[in-house]
Amino acid sequence: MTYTRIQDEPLKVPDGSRTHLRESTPDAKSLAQRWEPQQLLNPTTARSAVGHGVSVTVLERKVDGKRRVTLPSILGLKEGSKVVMVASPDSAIIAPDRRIAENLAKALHKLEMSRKLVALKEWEKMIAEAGLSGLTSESVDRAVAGRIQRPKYLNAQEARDSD
Amino acid sequence: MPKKQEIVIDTSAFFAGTKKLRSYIGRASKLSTIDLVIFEFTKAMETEIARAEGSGRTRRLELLRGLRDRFPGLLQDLEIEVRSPEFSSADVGRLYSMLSDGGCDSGDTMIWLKMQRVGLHTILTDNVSNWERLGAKVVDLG
Repeated sequence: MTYTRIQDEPLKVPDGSRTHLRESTPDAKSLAQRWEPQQLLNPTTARSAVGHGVSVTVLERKVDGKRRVTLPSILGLKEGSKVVMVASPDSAIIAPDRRIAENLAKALHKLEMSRKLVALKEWEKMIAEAGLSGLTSESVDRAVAGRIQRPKYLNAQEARDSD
Repeated sequence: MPKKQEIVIDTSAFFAGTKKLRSYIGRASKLSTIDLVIFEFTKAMETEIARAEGSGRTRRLELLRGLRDRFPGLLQDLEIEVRSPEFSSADVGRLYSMLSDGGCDSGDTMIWLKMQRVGLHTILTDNVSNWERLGAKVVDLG
C-alpha cells in the first residue's frame, strides 16, 4: 500500500477510515515510518492502540515561537485540559489520559521490538547461509592481520638486506 | 528511573552472538559499538569476499556481499549506536604499557581504552578471558 500526497484533503482509504499525510512534515514522516501503512490505516489496530473506536489521523502543524502547537479539532479537549504525552527524541503523541498514553507507548514499543527481532532473524539467516556463524574473535583477528599487507618495496628491501 | 545498561557489541557478536543480542533487544538494553569494531567487521568481510572471489564460489560471494551491504542498515534497524571516542597521545602510552605487560591483543586493548573514555565497561564477546584480563565486564556469547 502506498500513500498519496494530498495537501489539504483527507485521504480516503479502502476501509473507509480517513487520514491526512503531509510528507513535508518530519514528524508525520517519522510517525508514518514507525507504523506500517496497514497498521496506521487499519481501524482495528488503531482501536487497540488507543483503546477507542476511532480512526487514526496524521496532521501537520507548525510549532510557534514558544514551541507550542494547536491541537486538532477532532480531539475533544477544552482549554485547561490536562494532557499526557508519549514522547521520544523525534516524535510526540498527545493523549487525554495516562491509560491511553500508556497503551500507545506499549503498542509502539511492541512494534519496535518486533521490527528489531525480524531484522535480527534475517541477519542470523544471512550469516548462517554465508557459513559465518562460527566466526570467532580469533578468526576475525587473523582476517584483519591477513589484509594488512606489507608494501612490496619493504619486502624487496628485506630480501636485499639478507643477501 | 534507573539508567539503562549500555552494552558494547564486539565484532564476533555480529557473527555468532545473535541469540544473546536478541535477549538484550528484548530487555530494551541500549546497544552500541566502537568505530574499531566496524573496521574489524569490514576487514573480516573483505577477507571472506576475497577468498570467495579467489575460489570462484559465486553463490557464497553473492551472500557475503549481501551481508556486507546489509550491515549499515542492521546497525540502524537495531539502533546500535556507533561511538567514536577520542584516542589521545596519553592513550597511546597506556596502550603500549598494557601491551608490554603481555597477553593483550592490540585491537581489543584500543577498543577497551576507547570504551573507558566514554564510560562503557560491558562488552558482548566470545573472547571472555582476554576481555576479563583487560578489566571489562563481559557478556559471554555462549
